[in-house]
Parts: sequence; C-alpha cells; structure tokens
Amino acid sequence: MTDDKSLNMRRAIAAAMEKSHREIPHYYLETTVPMDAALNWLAEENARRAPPDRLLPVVLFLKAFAFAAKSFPEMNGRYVDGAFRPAESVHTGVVVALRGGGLLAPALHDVQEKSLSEIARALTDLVTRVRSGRLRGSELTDPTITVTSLGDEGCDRVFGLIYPPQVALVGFGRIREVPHRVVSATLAADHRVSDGLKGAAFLNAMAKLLQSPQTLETGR
Amino acid sequence: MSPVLTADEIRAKVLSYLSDIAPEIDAKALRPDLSLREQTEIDSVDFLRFVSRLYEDLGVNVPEADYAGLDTIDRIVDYLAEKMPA
Repeated sequence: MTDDKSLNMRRAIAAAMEKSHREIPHYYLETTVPMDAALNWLAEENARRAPPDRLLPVVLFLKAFAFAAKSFPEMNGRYVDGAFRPAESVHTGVVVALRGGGLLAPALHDVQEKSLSEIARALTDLVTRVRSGRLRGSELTDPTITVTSLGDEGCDRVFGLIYPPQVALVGFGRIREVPHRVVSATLAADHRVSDGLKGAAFLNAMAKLLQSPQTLETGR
Repeated sequence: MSPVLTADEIRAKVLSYLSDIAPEIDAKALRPDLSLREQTEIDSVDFLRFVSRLYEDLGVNVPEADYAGLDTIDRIVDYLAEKMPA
C-alpha cells in the first residue's frame, strides 16, 4: 500500500470508530465454547480433502454465527435516523487485516445458505481480493452484522467496536488448550436495540451450533 | 512428469509462491532458518493457499498434521525434496 492509501485508510477507520464509540451504547458478553468436537470433526474431514478444499476453523465460526444471526433479528440490521431496521438477509462483514496495517470488513453474502466448502471458497476469494485491492464498492456497504476472528496468531479474546450503522459484532479469539480446546466468543451489541438477555441467547445459540459440526455441514 | 528438481529449484519455487500469495514480502530478504510467521504477516488463509500451490504445482499433498513442521523456508524445502514425486 502506498503512504497515501495507508493514510486514507487510517482516517476512514478513525472516522467510523469515533462515530461508533460516540454514538453506540455498547454492551459486552463472552462465552467459552468447547471446540474438541468441532476440531476433531474438522481434522477427519480435512484428511479426506485435498489442500485447496480444506476447511479452516473460521469457516465453522462463520456458519454457526450466520445461522444464529438469522434467528436473532435484533442483532442483524442497521440503526438509522433513530430507529432500528432489521435486515432480511444476513450479510456477514468479515474483518480482514491488511498487511502493513489497516483493515476492511467486506460482506460475505447469505453465509447461512452456503455449504462449508462454499464458505471456504468465498472467504479465500474475499481475503485475496481485499489484500489485492479488488473489492467491489458494494461489498463494503452490504454487511448487516460483523464478525472478527483473530486466528492462531491472535490473543485469547477480542472486544470489538460495532461498525455503524450495524448493531452487533461477534469476536472469536484464538483456539486455546486448557487442556481441552476452547475458543472465546464475544458479543458487542447496541443497547438501543437489544438487551443482555437477548444477546446471551444469541451467543449461546451460536455456541451450541459450533458444538455439533455435522449440523453445520448439512444445514442449509 | 517433470524432471526431478534440485533443492535450489525447489527453493526458488517456494519463494515465488510466497511472493504470489503475499506480494509485499521481500522473499529474498527472508532468513530461511527463522520462523516464517515471525518474519511475515502470513496468516492461516495465506498458509492454506501456499499448501494448495504445493499440491497443484508440485503434486505434494501436505497433510494438516505436517503443517507445524513447515515453519521455516529451509524446513519446507527439505520436506518437499523428500516428498516430491520422482
């Protein structure tokens, strides 16, 4: 990235996050999700797959997340002109770090309707295009809810800022062994739109789905 | 089948795949004996793309269980030299 582009990106992030911090009354929840079942299933699945078809854990996160978001309209939509407008579809903004700094969160569309293999291909394509500057403009404005996954180089948990005008953001930390494998799932949600009880139900629904990976594979 | 590649040829291919996947990497400046992840911002999506290139271009199917051992360029080259179809 050139210095100019890098500076513009920093300014864009600053503007969005200032607005988020100023206007959105966030509340935060966390749950720890047991991951042994999902990761054992994934290892067996990947052993049968050639490298280009293998699934990363984030693919399971995205599918469980989108399934749950579809059932919790208070988490999925936009807060505009003093009123919340739930969205019909779940378009997941996926936070992608740019090398050398900065990030973008373009949309993966209708994740809950895709198979795991379709999500994996769409994610690789999206990450590749983010980093080579080949996104479509609409991909940056389409998201109705955001997910961030720190991956194995990250920290234990992440407490994010909601990307306005969205009303929720889910964060996955790195997978830890304590000694069973677990992952932290956090929710940042907009208190103008939902309360902790609803947020907890959303997070728990997602955690439950993540523990039955067969359901994620077959569910459409 | 292509002729057997020398270790130097394998190394050149590995560096070119890394440059394709993460163009901002100065592949020639990487220390081959040090952790790739610590010298670059390669993440799990990049690494999967890298392993996919090894499969598609060199015919080497790296099982997930072997990923952890492929943490430096030297180790990747040694691994491929052993596993490449003759």
